[in-house]
Amino acid sequence: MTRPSAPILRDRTGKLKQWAMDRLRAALPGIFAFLRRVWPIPKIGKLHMVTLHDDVREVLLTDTAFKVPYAKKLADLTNGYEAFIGMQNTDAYRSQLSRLESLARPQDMKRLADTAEEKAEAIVARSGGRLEVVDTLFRTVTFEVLENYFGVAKPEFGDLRIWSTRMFEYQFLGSDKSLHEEIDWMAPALSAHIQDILNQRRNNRDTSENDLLGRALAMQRQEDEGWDDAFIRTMLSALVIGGPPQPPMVLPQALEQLLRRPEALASAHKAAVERDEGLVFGHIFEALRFDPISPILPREATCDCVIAEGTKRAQHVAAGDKVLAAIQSAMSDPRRIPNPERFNPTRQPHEYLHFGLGLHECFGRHINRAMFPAICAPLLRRPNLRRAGRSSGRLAYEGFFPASLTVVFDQA
Amino acid sequence: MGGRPVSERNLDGSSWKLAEPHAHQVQGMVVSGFSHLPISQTLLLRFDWDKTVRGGAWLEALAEIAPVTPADGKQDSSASLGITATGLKKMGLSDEILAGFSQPFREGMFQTDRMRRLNDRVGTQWSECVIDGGPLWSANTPPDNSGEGSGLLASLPRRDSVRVVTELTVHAILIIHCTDAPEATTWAKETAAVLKRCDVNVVRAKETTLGFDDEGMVREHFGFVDGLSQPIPWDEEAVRDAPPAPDPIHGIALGDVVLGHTDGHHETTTGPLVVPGNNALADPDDPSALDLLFNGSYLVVRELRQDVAGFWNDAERIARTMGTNPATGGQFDGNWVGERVIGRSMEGDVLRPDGVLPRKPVSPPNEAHAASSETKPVPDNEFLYWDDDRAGLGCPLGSHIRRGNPRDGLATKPSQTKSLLASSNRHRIIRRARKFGPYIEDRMVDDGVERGLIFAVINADIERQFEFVQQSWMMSPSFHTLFDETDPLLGPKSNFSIGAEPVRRRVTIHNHTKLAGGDYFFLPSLPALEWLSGL
Amino acid sequence: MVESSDYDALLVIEANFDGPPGPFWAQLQALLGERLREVLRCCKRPMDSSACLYDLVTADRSRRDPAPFLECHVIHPKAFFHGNRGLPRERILAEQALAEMVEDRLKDGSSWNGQSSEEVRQALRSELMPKFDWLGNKPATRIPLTETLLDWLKLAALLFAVLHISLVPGAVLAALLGDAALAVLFAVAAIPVWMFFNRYRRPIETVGTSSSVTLLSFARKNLIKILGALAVLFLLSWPISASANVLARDLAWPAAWQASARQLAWGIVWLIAILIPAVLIWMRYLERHDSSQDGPETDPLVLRQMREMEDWIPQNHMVSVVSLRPQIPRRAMSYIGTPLIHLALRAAVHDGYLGSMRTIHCAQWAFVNNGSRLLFLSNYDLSWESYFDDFIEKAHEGVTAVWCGSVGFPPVTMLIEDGAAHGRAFKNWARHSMSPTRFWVSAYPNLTVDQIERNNRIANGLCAARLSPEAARQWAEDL
Repeated sequence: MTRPSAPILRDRTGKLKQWAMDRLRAALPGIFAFLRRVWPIPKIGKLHMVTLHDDVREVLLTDTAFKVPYAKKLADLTNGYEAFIGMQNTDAYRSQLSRLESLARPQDMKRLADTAEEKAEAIVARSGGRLEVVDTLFRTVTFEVLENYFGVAKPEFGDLRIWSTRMFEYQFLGSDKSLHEEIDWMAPALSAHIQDILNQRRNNRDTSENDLLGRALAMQRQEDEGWDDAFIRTMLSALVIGGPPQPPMVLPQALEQLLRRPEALASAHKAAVERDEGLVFGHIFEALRFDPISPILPREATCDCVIAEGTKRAQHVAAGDKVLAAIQSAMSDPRRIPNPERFNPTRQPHEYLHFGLGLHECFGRHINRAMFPAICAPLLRRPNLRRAGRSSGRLAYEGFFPASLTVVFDQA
Repeated sequence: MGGRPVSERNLDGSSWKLAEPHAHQVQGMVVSGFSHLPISQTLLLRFDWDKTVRGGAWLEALAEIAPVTPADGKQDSSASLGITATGLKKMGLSDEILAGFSQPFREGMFQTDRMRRLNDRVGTQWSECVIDGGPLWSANTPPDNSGEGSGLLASLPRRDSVRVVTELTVHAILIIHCTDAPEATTWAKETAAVLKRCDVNVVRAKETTLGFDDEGMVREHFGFVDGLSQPIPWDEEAVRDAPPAPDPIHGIALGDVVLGHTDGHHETTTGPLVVPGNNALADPDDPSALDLLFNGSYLVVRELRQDVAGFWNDAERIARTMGTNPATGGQFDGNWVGERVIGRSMEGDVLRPDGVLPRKPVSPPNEAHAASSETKPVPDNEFLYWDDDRAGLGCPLGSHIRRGNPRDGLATKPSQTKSLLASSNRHRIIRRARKFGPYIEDRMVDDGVERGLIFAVINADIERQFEFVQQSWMMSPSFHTLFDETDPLLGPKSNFSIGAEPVRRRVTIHNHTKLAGGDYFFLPSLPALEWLSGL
Repeated sequence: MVESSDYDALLVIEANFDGPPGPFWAQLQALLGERLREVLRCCKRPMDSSACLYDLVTADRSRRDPAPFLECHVIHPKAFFHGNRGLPRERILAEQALAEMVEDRLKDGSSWNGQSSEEVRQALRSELMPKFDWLGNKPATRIPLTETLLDWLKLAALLFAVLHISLVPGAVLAALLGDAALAVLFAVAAIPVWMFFNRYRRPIETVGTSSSVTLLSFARKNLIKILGALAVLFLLSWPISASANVLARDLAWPAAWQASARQLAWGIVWLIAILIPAVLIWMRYLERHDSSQDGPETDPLVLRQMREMEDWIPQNHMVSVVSLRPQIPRRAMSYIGTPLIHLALRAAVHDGYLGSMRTIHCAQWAFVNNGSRLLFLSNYDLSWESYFDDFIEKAHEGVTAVWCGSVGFPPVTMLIEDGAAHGRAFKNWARHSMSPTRFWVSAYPNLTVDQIERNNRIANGLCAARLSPEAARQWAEDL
């Protein structure tokens, strides 16, 4: 199970810049609260941000006027093929999504959860009471489980964790020169790797359907329309890029929020001990409300339109303007969220926007729903879970990515 | 036997009398329980004549053999007559006149919503309190579908709509009261023969009795003294020798039992006006016009079957599970349980936390009753609950008599007792129950004989009186602050809480009283009967 | 949905909920969003500024949330009565669960023989504590004192404003005229007013119900309170009137105090001797001249549909809309009286009793259609008949006061007499004004107001660490 220990995150952010980013992250709730009250739709140049719950919902739900801006970069990563993540609500989008959805099956979720929990339990048990969670636990388990589920095994050369994390960074976060250089070879490498697996399976007459790739091949064998290699490759690339990098980002943040709230941690512990999987998930999701994976989701106006039309705060948006939907702000807007300052693990689903909303609601939401509690439960179940001493017990970031957080616990 | 009238006031409802001219017009059954006429025959009639026959002809024939008796004094025998809405229609009463009768009467007891409210049937299921297969008889009133399928609200999905048709259709009820059984049987036979000639058939007949015990008290089949509590109607003018004010505990407005007088809600019911020989609404200014409802009343009849052995075996079973009685140190027995179910002792004394309410010594016999000699004290019915038994440690909160008439017991603060007693009394009914079937030999052994009660209620506003008592008190699972309980005597299998220290006892009681048939009848005044016989 | 031939049909969404309104709308929309949109599409496009939102919400394939539009059309009730005030739903359900558990533990009750109530309570408390950890806490106060004080203050302020404004004409006259002239003037005015008043104050023949409480007997019974209120009125008005004197008549402060005291005294005389009886005569005139008092017909089909939906669970719901009569004193009485009743109920009623009835979960009165109609919504226990019998038997004065200004209400005498005491006429009028409630959800469908209070007493009793034997005995009575 050992892997070459090349650093997965790029160490490129300067100390000062990192400090500023961390401070900004900490200040966001206050900034959003201020904006909601005083300037609910701030506009700077061609950039708008919506902060109220209603407006965020409006922007996310109105996919006809506000499209996702992911298509261009995604094409770089998928060798020019279109993938659903960046598409508008077209026939092609719907057909692609339904084809992809047909691969996943509801009963898979239990299997994913069971494997994830088993692996996580082994790691926690081995740790001897002191554990760095970001890499050792969250990333390791996520990648192992999802690689297996997607059917995209580890490449012989190179590290899938690095490829996918880097490409995720390129797709959603930054695009500096060194990143470009890396992407330029990683994207074809991933594509080629998947093609290799496809060829290999066909050659070996491997007809297993335990993973998504296997099922896609089965569809191809039935000669259903639209299941050529390019499509399978593009879809799996999209999944690999969009999926596994995320749990290692959000789960440390959730754990950090729980560690800040002893009562919440205690009730999460109780839920984990009682094997109340739903309630454990409730704790994680609620913790993330205070620090979601992304405070904003970007959109781009496709036409001239008005946000919050019919209200006093109505604002004109020109075609091509960028609109940021501040989901973090929306999830703590007291106008729609009861007692947003309170940690409440039994909130109703509509109060969360972690998975987005509407057309581009997270494809992996069911997978995450199953895996989050499974990965965290073994750790939460341990008695007296607390931060390790000194700075290693605080969540440290590398740019936007959580880099390390060490916890200690009693050996039961 | 002996029709000894019990001396204490109002035990057979005869402590009040109507003044003239009302006494001549109202049926005797309204003012009297006929304790001097303990044997009766209850005949349920169906009109089978064809279109060529006059609807009032049978009443003329009836007047020859069994004239309906008014409330103007004691008679050697008596006859009372009630007619259902379908009966009136069959007699040819015009729709515009029938429309002037009260809605529950027109709709009948087995209208869908009414069955739900009375807890007889919810949705498609007959309740456990009805005999298997549903009731045997009713007026079979067709549901009023006028206007359905049209209008603004026609699109509303129907929640509950069934039509119940019983095997027997009853158009009228004739009750004849006599002093002894042979007389009653003969009279009933002769009457049936006369009616048969008018194509009126007796579809169901029951010999019903009051049944006095050695003490001169009426006992129903389970063995309890019955019929102790009756309201005392009061009206300044229409009640003879009316006291200056209604009885403080049992006083109600006359209009609550006789139509056309001021009722408990300060109103006077006016009915359709008619003139003799014309089956249409009369000119209101016509001085000869007759108010068809005036001095009439409504009669609610429910034929209830009692499973005596079932009841007492259940009571014994419950008693055995209850362990020792801390008050006596001995075992609880069936009587103890049965008495809690009723709320009175077998002898009729209301239960109190420290036993039963003591009887008042008999006041020196007055001249009129001096002859009836050795009068013993009878159960005291002049009690309230708030002061002596608020928590139901004696008479349980959910017992039959407390549900039937909570008096001031629903108050939760002393300041409310007066208004709650007054408001309870707005729902009082006059009960004229008589039993059928022989007493059981051994109350623990089922002899397979059918027995029970023809439960009859006289009231002027069926919704506010009979139906309210049945729905909001008897069958309400949230009566008082109780939960999941209904009347332990009449209700379906349910819990029953018996107040005790330190905490209440709770037992499960089954249903042993089942509805076998019933409906709403109009009890016409004598002038109204005369008009009806002209139809 | 309220339908009537006089007005366009009215869509009413009644919402009684805990907490702030914003999250409530979000929840409603999460639950019924698309269906709500369908319903709104059946509604008339509003003519005010919310039309834009209406168009956005109801447009073809719209995904705009309906909540902001609905929020534009919220009407707050002018009077609201809450039966189990101070108990949020969560607490009611928690206490129900506790009470059920207690019932379960008590079983048939025989095993507790020989123990004292306090011993039973302690045993239950220690047994249930692990399941209901909140039993260790002091139960939250249902209605904080500050809230009550604020309600009293608001009530006093509103009452003061009304009375103060009404005595101004008398005070102004007093400033203009001398005592003697004023005495003559008032006497000349008051004598005929009182003669008329005396002549018309009694009910006309067919209206009287010999109800025990009349407006005058009510006033007599509360004479001390009324005098006290007048004294307070005087004291509070004094500085206002003194400042007015200083400003208007250029008096020095000492002289102004003196002058205003005299003016206020005359103002109160004017209020009692002339204004109030005169307004009552006006009301009596209107009451005697109403032509819309014959019992209205209820469509039998509508009645059947209402009944069809009643009595399935211990609770029922009703909605009624009535048109208000147009005359000035009646409208004024409705618009001012309703908030006064609201505040009085909030300030004085803490145990859930309206009169001596305790079957009302939520009852609210609101003015709709620009104040021309009175909307009444109620969630009550037991049957409709028993609810209205309660109104008639236990609270007819209050009910009459609220509805006496509405079309078709049974004839009223002196604002509170008769009216709803005419049982059947009142019920007929009420049924006529009602529409079937097509959809309603109860937050705790199987509980009555009384049972909720009982569960609360059981829970509160169990929260206490120790109870006196008498208190414990009383507590055990509820089990």
